[in-house]
Amino acid sequence: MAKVTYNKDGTPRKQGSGRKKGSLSLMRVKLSELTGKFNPNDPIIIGRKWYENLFKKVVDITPQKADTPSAADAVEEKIAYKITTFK
Amino acid sequence: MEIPFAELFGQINVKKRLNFYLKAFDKTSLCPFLLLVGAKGLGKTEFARQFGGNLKNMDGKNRPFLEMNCSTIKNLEGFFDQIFIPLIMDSEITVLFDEAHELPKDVTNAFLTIFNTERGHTRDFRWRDGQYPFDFKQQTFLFATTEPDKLFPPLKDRLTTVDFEDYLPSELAQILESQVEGIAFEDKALLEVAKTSRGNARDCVKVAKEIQIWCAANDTNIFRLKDFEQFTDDLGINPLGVSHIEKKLLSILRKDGQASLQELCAKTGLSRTAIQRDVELYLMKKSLIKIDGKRHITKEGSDYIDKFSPPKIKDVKKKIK
Repeated sequence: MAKVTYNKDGTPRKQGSGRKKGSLSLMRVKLSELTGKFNPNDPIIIGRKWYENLFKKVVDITPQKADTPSAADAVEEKIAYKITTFK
Repeated sequence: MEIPFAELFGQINVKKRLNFYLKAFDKTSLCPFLLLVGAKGLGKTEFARQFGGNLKNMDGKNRPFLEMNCSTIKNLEGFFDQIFIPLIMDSEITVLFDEAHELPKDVTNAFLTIFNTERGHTRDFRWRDGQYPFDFKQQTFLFATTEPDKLFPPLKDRLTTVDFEDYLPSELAQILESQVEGIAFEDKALLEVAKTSRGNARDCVKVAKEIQIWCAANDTNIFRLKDFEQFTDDLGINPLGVSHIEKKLLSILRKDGQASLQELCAKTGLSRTAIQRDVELYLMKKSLIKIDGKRHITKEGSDYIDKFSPPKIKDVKKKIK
């Protein structure tokens, strides 16, 4: 007997639903083929995950702080003193 | 400087002790690690400077005097790198640590070892990979603080405390007169002005500057008692140097007879700490109020308010009726 799998809502999944092995919704093309067909401002549909992988992470990355002390820190750590010489 | 501290007024006991240490230094080139303790404006730093100015190097020349505010010392590394190695090590110098209660913990701990009261005048302090030599015949260390209770007790134990006292009105009058050039004072006026300085020499110097300006503005070089009244009126100075918030508190007590600290907070808008620390202390010192659980105005306080507070309009109207 075939193994029963379940949908997210808990109902049993119908037999034959889903993607068949080898059936791919995505295909590989050269970027030059696409740029030949579209103008720079034409909207195109792409995979959300692919977009996020490519662009969003770059936006989210915060620049690493340099390890060197800032000028303000350096001033703050200066000890204030005064030397008096007597004649 | 021929006579030590000749330019400074008052602080007789401090002068005596410091003169003793100067004499001892002349013979031994050693001075105890002195801790000058007193309220703000009593002249701790000035006395330390003059003391330093009277210490001589081995070759008879005057010793330079290095003073630093301890709140700017952030750690031991900074102290050794910026101060000890370039300025103190192998030099003959007097060093004053002002506001010593602000010393950071690691510096305080190092000082426990360095200023330990063991025999000998040299100390080699080892820290990390370095060795820092101290020679107390070459280097004299002084400390000053307004808050000795905040100083780490073991460090305080290693220092010799010299206590500063409040100035008497007559001493303040001398300070005041010395700070004002080209103006003659009526004796009574001088004493009255001195009383507004709250026993504080620094305040006295500030008042002296204001008198100088006031006299210039009024084209006079004689300051009389009647001028004092006009002067205090112009500058909003209350007799005895009582501040406006202190006077407000006195007025509240004069009206209500007594009040709790909570009531005074509500009526003045000040916090409990501010009233206790900044307002009540001086009023108690001048016997204008007393505290026994509740705050009471004394007879002196009542007299003060009756004499120096202008009557309210409705009171004047009542009298007229």
